[in-house]
Amino acid sequence: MSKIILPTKGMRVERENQTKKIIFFQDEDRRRNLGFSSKGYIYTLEVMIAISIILISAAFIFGKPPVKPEMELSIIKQQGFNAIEYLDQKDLLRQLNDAELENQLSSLLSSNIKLRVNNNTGLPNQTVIAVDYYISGYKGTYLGKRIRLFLWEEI
Amino acid sequence: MMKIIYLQDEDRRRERTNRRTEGTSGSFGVSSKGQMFIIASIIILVGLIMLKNIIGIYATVEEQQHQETDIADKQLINIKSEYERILGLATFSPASGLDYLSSFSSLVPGKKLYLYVRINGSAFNVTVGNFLDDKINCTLRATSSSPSEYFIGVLGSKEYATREFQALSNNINLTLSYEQQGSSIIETIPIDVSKDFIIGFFDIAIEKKGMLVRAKEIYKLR
Repeated sequence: MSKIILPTKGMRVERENQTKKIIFFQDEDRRRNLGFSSKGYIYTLEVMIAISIILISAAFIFGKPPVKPEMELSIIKQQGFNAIEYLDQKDLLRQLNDAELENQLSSLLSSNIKLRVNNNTGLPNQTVIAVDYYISGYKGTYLGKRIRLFLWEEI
Repeated sequence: MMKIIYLQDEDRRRERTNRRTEGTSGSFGVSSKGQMFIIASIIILVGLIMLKNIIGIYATVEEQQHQETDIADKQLINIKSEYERILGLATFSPASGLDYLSSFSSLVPGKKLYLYVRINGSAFNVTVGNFLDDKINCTLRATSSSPSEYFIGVLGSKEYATREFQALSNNINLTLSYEQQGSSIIETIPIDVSKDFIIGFFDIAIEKKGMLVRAKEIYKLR
């Protein structure tokens, strides 16, 4: 004896008799019956998601310009030393007093670099670089002194 | 006969998976192979982030060390040239050269060791100056000279000692042997008493932020 119950939501009815089986399919089942398979679809989708994660993240990581490293202090120190060396080669370093040295060095360095010679009073409240240059003597006279150059970048 | 099957969503998918894929199963009836790609992409992402940070730091540190070493090298050249100038000043007053060398060595930074040789006819005076910030145990030897050797002994930091030799020939090899912290160092200077007037040997080392620059120089004034 066969009995038919009308299908409701979430319920699938199989009706079997000796000769015939009627199976009601949902949407996915209908597609399967028509020859569609979701196996490769899901696989491809996951691979695409993985590739997208890598590409988008790489774009964010390497898309920003590199942060400028703190090299200005070393460069300013080197410029200061080179300026003093130049004055020594011109035979001016040992003759001039501190104020004259400041004028000469200011003309050799960039306009945004401020300096003071042998005077650490009234320095600005920021990073100040000190460069030392040693002098032993001049024209037969022993001097034995250190020239200390204070440098800072004007903000 | 009729069979009634109540299926929820999960059950429907499980049944489809069982019919669709025999032998493979995930929690919800889907293949787990694709999920491995997502996990691998996350691992690659973490590796890229770490790599970027490490490369950036390394390049900056190397560049800063290069800059600091360059400045230390310039300072070393400055000090060497000033020592040579002191020898020139000493030609006016050789005895004052001792004071100049001692005073200047106390002023400049770094570790210094010097030999100051003043030649006066067949006699020559040798001064050893120790500014190595450590005591040394030193011996002076001279070939073709009398005496041939002086054992100075322990020389403290910022001290100097002078010994006099008599040259028995014109060409002499002067050797300073000293021990510092268990290691033995030998410095040799050739002297021609017929030509040389003042000779200076300088061993200067400056350390800046872990980087060491060192130079040895012999200056001869005739």
